[in-house]
Amino acid sequence: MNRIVFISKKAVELFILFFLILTVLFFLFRLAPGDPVTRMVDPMLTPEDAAHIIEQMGLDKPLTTQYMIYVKNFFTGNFGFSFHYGEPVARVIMARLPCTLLLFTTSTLLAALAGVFLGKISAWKKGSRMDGVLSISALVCHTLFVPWFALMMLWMLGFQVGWFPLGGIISPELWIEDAPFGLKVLDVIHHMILPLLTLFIIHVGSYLLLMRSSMLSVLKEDYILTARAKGLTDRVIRNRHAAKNAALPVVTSVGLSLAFSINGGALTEQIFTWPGIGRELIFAVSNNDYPLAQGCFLLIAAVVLSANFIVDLLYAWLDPRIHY
Amino acid sequence: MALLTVDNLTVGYDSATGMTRAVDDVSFTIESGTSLGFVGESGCGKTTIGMALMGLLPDNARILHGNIILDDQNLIKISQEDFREIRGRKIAMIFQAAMNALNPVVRVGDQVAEMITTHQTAVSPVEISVKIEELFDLVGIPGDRINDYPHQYSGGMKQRAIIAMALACNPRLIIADEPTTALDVVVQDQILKEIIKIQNLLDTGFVFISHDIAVVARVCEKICVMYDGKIVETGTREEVFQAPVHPYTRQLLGSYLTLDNCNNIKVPYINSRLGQKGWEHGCALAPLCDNPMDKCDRLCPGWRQLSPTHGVRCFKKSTI
Repeated sequence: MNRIVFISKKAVELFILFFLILTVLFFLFRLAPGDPVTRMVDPMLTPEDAAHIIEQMGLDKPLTTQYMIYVKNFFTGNFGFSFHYGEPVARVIMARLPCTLLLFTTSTLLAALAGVFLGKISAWKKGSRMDGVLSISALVCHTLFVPWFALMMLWMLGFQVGWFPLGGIISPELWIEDAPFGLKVLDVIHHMILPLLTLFIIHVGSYLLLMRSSMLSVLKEDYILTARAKGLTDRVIRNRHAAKNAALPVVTSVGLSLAFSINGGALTEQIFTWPGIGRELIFAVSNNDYPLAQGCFLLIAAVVLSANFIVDLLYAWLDPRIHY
Repeated sequence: MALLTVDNLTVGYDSATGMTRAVDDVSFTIESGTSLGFVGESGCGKTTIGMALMGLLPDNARILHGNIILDDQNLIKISQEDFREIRGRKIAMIFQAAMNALNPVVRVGDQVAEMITTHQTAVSPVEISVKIEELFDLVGIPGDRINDYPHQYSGGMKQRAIIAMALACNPRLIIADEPTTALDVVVQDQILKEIIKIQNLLDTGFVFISHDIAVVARVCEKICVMYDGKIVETGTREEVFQAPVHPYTRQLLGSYLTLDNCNNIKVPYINSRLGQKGWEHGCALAPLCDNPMDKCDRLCPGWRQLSPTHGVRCFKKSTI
């Protein structure tokens, strides 16, 4: 019962928050420097054509009316048409979303799993040579400058050695010739390895360091001494008693970075020409494709909010001390 | 043959200033079904003795010499892995529950069950749950609380759960390190009664470590008074309480509040504001002694056995 009350309360909270973001976003776009009308309508058109387009877009109506239409459109699933593609924004975003999800979910989860595992070992063997090597490498990974590192990966493994393609997600010839499904999957994986590796290396360090410090403080707890006094094996003490408690803060971190990866990976997507949301967002903003940019921002807001929600639920499930 | 014999145990800690002796030449024995209490102020080495018996000394500690013989097996000489199998099965420890002695994310029943499954591989889940119900019943926790998490327990219940955990494998020896220290007097009384009940029920040896001499007096038949790593007086409960010989024992007893002395209670120079002098140059307690002799500052007093059970580390022959 408590759980249901908690979830519904939280859901209402999130809805209000999202509505606020929706509103702020509307006014932000209208507050952008310059007249939105001239920014959104091609200045090369004749005044009559321009007026016609402005009327068609509803930009001649008062701001409050525009806002009402905006909200109504949002709740009926109408996000407008992209200026550039001439297609509904929802369709453009839906086409890009799987690419982003595939790349960032995989890389974040892999990095988190590896980071938790290595951080656990590093803390357990604190002060050993392995701990030294792991911690320093993690620190290096953590402080890498992302665009530089991505370019270096691309230059070395893509250009110099030539093991991996330089960009994109597919080789067009395979898809035109309608190759067997297995081959297409392998092709996508082949394209994905380089950006995946880059993101993995960048993220694994911070998870390792987080897990290591969390684990070190847990190992000082009295219940670890109790576990030793029970005569449990080192493996059980490390995995069941220490790591389970130490991984709690990592869960929060993974949830939030999954949320932010949807736009935080814009640079990586740009460098590897990965056809995802981040790259689309950069494109939309730099080409004044307002409906598309607005749609991307709304998607990011929705993802961040729901990720927070999921982390809250997950945390309460993992840590029995937390009550709804 | 005694259950546990400790001979000349000396434990040191590596520190910046060299090796510090926390336990210095300590010997004692415990028979099955009896209990021995260690009392002394903080830092006198009583917890270090407990940890040495468990094989859980911190990394910077070393056993410099001595033997710990449990059931004909010298625990100083056995491997880490063999010691691990003894921990929990033959020697169990009762920790202070007010601290985080129970893992917050594991159900209490599971934490007790883990003790059994680690040491007895051939038990069925049904046998384990029956055993756990027995244990919880023995220590007085209602059966419907077995699957709770530690944070749902009160301090007293946590302490009971920790006792249940220690009893899970029917150990030969139980070490209780300040088991009642953080509990209020009512709960403390309940827990002590529980411990005494268990002592009478089982044929287990008990080592009871506490700074609270009243608690030790209730539970233990034999008492060792420690100061700065050495045992200064040992004897039966009656000997130590009714005829204390060592000046420090008397000071310790004098600091205990009773109705008779509540107006002129004399707390001894407990905890060494004078700085611990150590035992190398005469008696460590000489600066604290009411009436020291000349040689106390020069010679370390040897051990004198006053009766088969009563011994003291002091030059003075008679009680003052």
